[in-house]
Amino acid sequence: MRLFLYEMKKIFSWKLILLVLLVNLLMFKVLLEFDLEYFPNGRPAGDDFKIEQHIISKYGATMDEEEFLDLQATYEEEVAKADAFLANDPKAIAVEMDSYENFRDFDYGNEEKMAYHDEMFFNSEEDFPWVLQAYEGYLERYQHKEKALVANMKGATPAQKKRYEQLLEEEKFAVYTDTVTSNFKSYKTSMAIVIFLSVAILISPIFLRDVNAGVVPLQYSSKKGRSVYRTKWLAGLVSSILIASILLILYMTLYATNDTSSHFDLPLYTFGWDYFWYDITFLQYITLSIAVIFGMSVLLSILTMAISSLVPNTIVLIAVQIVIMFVMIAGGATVIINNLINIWYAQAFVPSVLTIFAVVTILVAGFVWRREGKRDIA
Amino acid sequence: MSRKGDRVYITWLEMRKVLLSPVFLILLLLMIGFNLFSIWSDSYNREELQVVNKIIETYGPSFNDDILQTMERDINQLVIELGGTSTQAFLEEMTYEIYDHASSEEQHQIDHISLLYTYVQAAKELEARYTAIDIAKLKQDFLNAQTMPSWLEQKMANEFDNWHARFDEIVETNEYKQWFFLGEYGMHSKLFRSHMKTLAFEGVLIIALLTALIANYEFEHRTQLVTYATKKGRKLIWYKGFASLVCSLMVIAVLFGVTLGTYFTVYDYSTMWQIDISSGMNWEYTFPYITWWSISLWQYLLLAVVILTFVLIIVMLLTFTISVFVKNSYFTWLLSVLLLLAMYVMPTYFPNSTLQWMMHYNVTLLLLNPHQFFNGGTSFMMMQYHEFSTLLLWLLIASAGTIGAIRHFNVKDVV
Amino acid sequence: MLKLENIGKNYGDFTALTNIHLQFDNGIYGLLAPNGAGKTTLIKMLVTLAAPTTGTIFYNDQPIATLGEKYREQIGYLPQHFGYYKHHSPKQYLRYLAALKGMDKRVVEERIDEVLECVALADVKNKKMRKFSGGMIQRVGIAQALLSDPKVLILDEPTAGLDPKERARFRHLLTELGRDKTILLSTHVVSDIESIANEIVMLKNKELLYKANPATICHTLDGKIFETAMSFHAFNDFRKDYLTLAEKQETGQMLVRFFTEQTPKSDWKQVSPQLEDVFLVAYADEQKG
Repeated sequence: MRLFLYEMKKIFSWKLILLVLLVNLLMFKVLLEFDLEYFPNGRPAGDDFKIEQHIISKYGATMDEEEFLDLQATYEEEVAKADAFLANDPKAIAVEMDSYENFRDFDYGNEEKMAYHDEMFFNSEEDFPWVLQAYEGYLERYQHKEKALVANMKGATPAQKKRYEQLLEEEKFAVYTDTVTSNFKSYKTSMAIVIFLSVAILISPIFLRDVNAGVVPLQYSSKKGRSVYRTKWLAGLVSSILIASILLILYMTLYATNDTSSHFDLPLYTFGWDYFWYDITFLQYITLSIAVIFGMSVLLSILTMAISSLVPNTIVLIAVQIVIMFVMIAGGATVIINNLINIWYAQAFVPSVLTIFAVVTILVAGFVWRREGKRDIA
Repeated sequence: MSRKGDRVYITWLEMRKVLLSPVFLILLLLMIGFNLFSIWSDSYNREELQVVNKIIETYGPSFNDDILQTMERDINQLVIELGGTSTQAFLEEMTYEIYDHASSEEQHQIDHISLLYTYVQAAKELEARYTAIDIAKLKQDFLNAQTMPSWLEQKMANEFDNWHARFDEIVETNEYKQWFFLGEYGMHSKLFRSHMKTLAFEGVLIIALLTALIANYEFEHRTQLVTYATKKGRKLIWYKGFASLVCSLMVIAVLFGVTLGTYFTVYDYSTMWQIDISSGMNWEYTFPYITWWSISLWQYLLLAVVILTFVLIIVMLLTFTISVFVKNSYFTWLLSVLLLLAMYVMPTYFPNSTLQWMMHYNVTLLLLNPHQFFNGGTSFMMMQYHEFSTLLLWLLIASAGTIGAIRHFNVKDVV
Repeated sequence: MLKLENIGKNYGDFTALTNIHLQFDNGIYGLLAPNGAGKTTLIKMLVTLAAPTTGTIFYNDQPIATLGEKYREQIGYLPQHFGYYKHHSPKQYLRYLAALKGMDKRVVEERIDEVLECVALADVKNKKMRKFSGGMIQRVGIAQALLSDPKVLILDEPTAGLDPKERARFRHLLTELGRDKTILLSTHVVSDIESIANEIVMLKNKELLYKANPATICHTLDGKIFETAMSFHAFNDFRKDYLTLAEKQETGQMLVRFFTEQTPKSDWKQVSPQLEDVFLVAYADEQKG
């Protein structure tokens, strides 16, 4: 235990802590901040989000005919307000856009009308153009709920088609927009990148540090002997678990400021656009994503420790890590984490990749363990 | 051996530390492999792009109303050969069924007609699109968008006025009426934004690494007491700096040479070297490329490579400076890369416009935006001479840093 | 008690050591051999950093490979080149090594003070080792080897970097420790062990050459070591025919100490062999190349 704490202290040297902190500060600005600061990102996403927060509590995951009529009634109330505004706006009257209907379905070729239309959308304090557009989206989504699924079946693989048919059969339709889910997808991908980098930076020097310091002969000839390797390894594992947990907690706390809890209990199929292999809720999806990021970070740390014991010097360590990090970011984060259970990838794709990653990592680690147990120390 | 021979030999010995480590060769090969793969994997439209070469061969590099009329007549002739009457009607009536029934030679001809037609239509629209650009309004929007001290406001207003004049020149001289790949293909961005940027990134990673290796070598191999106590002694640090420089240039030559060489083998630019980057056909995003000077493709390519080479030399000098103080390759490398990242992030931390303006003189922006070199536009970065000033400033900073570091090294104890 | 039976070590095709049989009881053993004779390989096997290719090493009649921790607990080891963390003080460094040695936490602090006192580093025990001289670092190394009060002390070139006063102090320390410990001291500085070693172990051609007390070893050259004086000119021819062991110039002549098995000549003065002579004679063929 005492030795374990010493090894932990070596891993969490203040220089490395500062470095990891710096990486997180910079990467937060580059990657994560956007999905926090600009959520929901402008219009119509902002309007969608506001409406959804309001109507989810009323309608829940599915929408029936009665709820649809209720939504339509709400929409018509809003239309009435818009009508009232337009009927009293001299500029609207001048271009014959004195009702919402005329405002919406206008002749695009007419420059004056176009100018007023644009003005109302982009340069006015009136919300109705955006709000009503958003409402129309929900109404249309309901009216064409089957169509969206059928359209996706074109060019789908047999497995994907089966899944769409299943959704169709079980009447699991998209009701809402993907504003919240696509934001989370982007956020978790960035989060994975930052955490992978932090783990790699913290853990990479773990074994090379002692080789460079020349203390290995003393360590391996001491009473603890080669079990020091296991102690260091364990300290590395615990450190990576610690750093991954701290960062996950930190970044998920920040994510909480996006205030998406209204959507937590909705199953993924209600969000539209993206379809998924499983009918889990958004909260379960978040949990799953966190678990996979955590698991991959731990595997990465195990792989990193194997690399740290195999490489002869720092330069090779960095070169190998450049390649590993490229794979972890371009493959691990932007493909695997981003598309965990997304229907665009074969159902077995992500689990297979993760299994291969785990098996390869464990095999390499096992090889290094055995080697370390008997190799001659130069 | 002569004195000069001596110097070359010592530099060579330092360079060997990089050139003979397989790790650099492997890393370089992996990077080149990645580049070639990404060039090939999205080259599906290379045949289609050939049409520009054919147009230039037949009608010359630039166009005007007469040429466009001739082209339309020629296209119509091709349509008539295929049994059509008007080109527009012919293409509109072209359904999948009809196309599928045509012989492969006819299909080829139809594709050709359709492509030519697209280019001619785009060319005809250009004049109107250019007339619609209102630089005065862009200037006003820019000046309104932020509060600047009056000197900066005046400076930026001047920038915009000069840019405006340049834009007028482009329009008056018809500089924009030159053939190039249609903006929709995004060929300018493909070459300068994706491939050049990737090259620059790879260059940073590998050059920071090799500099850290050469500079820290003695301390990491515990030979510092021997080497720095020899006749050359601490002067060795100069050779190390020089060796890092030569190795960096070699890496740049190989990395850029092979990648760009492959790129131009895959895509045929043979008739386009003299075409100006400011060609209106090259209109990719909301604005065309309105360059500060009339720069042809080959000049632009050359200048882009030169600029990135200088940026990478600056990276090498900064890494070298850091290594003298840090003496540990792991930290040296990470700090160099983070320094560049910090340069990119820094401007976003400062809402103050003067600081913003200052922060835009940063080499990371050059690394990230090779597609916007020499372009005017609506940000601090797009000022005239921005590339030149940034390089000069940072070369001075990095050289001062390096010389300071070497001086520091010469007086401190080697331990 | 350490016992080596038929120990051999190969690195691929290269044989570093072969056919070594040795036994070490309490006392001081000097391991004497030129560089490259397999000294360090032997020591690495004794401290479990390398495994023998053939044979077994026993500690109190049990193979050390099976004893594992129980064996390593009994040894103190000073490598020829050993590393340390520059930002550590001797105290921090020894604390870390105490943890590696699995020492009882309650006695560690006291013991650290004791060993640092012993190597005269008590007054710098909290200073960072970054600024230490070579001799000071070497003394920290000796301190760590003694730290757990081991039954077996294995010291590879322990006097490197020590000044004469420190060397004397160190020899004195070893004599005291040798009473109830096995001390194996590898060196090529003959004078370091001549006076204090109970037995000398010499390796040659990857095999054991001698294991005996210094006097016995010296006796093997009785009647074969001589001294004589001659002119410089004569000396040049002389060294072609005889193995010279030492020479010094005095009053315009060369005073030469040499080895021969020939019948002594009249101007030769027979002298009693020293350990240094044995060393030079034993490895003469290697030195001549």
